[in-house]
Amino acid sequence: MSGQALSRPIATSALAVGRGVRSLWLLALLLVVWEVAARMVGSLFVPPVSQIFGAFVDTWLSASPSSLFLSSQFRADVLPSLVRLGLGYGAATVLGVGLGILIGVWRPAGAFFNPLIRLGMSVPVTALLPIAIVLFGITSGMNVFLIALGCLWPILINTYDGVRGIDRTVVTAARSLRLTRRRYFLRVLLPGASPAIFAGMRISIGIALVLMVISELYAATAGLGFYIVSQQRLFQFPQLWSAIVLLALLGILFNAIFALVERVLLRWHRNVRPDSAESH
Amino acid sequence: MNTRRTGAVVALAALLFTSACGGAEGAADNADGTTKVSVTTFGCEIWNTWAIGKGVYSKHRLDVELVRSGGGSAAVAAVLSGAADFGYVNGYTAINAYNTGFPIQMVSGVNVNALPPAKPAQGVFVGKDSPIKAAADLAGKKIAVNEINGINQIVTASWLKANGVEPDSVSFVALPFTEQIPAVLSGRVDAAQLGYSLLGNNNDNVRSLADPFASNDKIYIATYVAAKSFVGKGDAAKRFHEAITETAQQLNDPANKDEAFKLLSECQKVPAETLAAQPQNALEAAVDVAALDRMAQQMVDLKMLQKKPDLGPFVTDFARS
Repeated sequence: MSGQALSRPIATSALAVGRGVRSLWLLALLLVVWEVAARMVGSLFVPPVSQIFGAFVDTWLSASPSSLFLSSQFRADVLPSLVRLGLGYGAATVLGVGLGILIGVWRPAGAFFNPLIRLGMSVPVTALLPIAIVLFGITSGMNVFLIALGCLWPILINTYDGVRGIDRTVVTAARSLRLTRRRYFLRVLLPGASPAIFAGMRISIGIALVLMVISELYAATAGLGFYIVSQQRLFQFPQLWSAIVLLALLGILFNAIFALVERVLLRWHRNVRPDSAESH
Repeated sequence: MNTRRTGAVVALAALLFTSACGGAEGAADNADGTTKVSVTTFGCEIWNTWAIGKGVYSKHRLDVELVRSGGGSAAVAAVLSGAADFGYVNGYTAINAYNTGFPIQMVSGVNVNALPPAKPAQGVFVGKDSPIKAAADLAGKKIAVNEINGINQIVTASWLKANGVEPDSVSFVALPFTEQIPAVLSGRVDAAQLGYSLLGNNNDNVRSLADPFASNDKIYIATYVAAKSFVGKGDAAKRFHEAITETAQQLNDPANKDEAFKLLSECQKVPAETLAAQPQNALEAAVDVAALDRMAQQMVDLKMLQKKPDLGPFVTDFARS
């Protein structure tokens, strides 16, 4: 192998590292400032970052490699939260996309349901927490219901907008080709609306995380929100912050997974191409 | 862009300092010789309505301003940030905060549990027809308490443990007091721990398995803590304790009972007769360190503390019994 061929991957790696440093330096600096400031002040409410990361490892990742390092605390509080989040988000996606397509395609249904949708969107889901407890009891059903309801509206509205926004020329062309309903749905409607559907689903991930925590702060027996309240009552602030860090990491992870899925499934769509994304 | 990023760093640093630097600034002396102090409150406490209404605080040269707080941990935060001078917390929360390293001191006790032969003031309530008859039947069940890891949970867990039920086998659920009995009656929880005074019109719909507070030794249900720096600054903390002591003495005098409930009634908007008929916790301003020590041991037994802290420096000399 020639020296030139060898130096190319090294140069590529160096560029990647450079890009990483460029994008992360502010975060690193903020963490250093936090560490120094917290040590100088000595506040027990805002402990140094090193202490928070120590608590993070001890609380969540202290198990053996055979358990993927996931501690019993992780299994007791994070897994129930993730299950609730998955069920609520999944239900919202199925319902939101289904109903969004229905009212997008069938104009009378759109006109009929529009006031109801606007009303539903305007009600803060957190205000329904006491009602959800009455309806579902102190069970995971209550958390799933709130997450699903909170995520439903952005997905539904975006799906509706996506369906209604399909280029009329494309629709006319599909009609002139006399496509079957199934082919029209799979080849025209779904691909045409999918960028908007994905946008709604992506917005809803953040909403799902927020509602997951809020619904567990109250009337729960396990979960990340429950853990946060519990540690606050015990004055265990490093542990409390470690749960907040875990939530942030989960948010980043979900967004990364979503971006990846979006990039694969919507490769054809101009806006999700890396070159066009950078130009925005 | 760089200016923006530097700005963000400076802003974070400022935020960290401002959020963490707050401290007790000490009480301010008024022109009339009184000291203005702020005291956290959960609503209407009988000793505050009495001490303010009958001028006990004024007699001790204290101009008291009541500041609403959401709970014991919020009260500790208020005291440490200087937002309040005296924090109203239960004994367990106070011990926990002190053990964590917060620079606070206990300046007064107020409320302790009503011990037999006094009428039970608290209960573990189940539905009237519930199959749950005793503590042993609560294993694996859901019990509502007003806050997770709060005093009601600790006392109930200790009571369960004393009756052979492992507290870990029970799920404690945080619900506001007003929602606990409806939750019991609808079957959403199996039991609820609260005071008789909070049953509303449901006296006939529920029954109590026991008063978990009465099954314990003396428990400080309400105390006052202050920042260590505040206590060392002047004699306001000592005067506050003296005012609470005098208030407790007056409230413990049966001759003052009717007037005390009348004052409380004006604050709570509940008829004085109704308040007088409800079982009350006892009033005790002096702090019994041995009792606090037992409370700390309970927390160790429930694995809430790793080891029992030395509570000697925690309780001010003037507050000890």
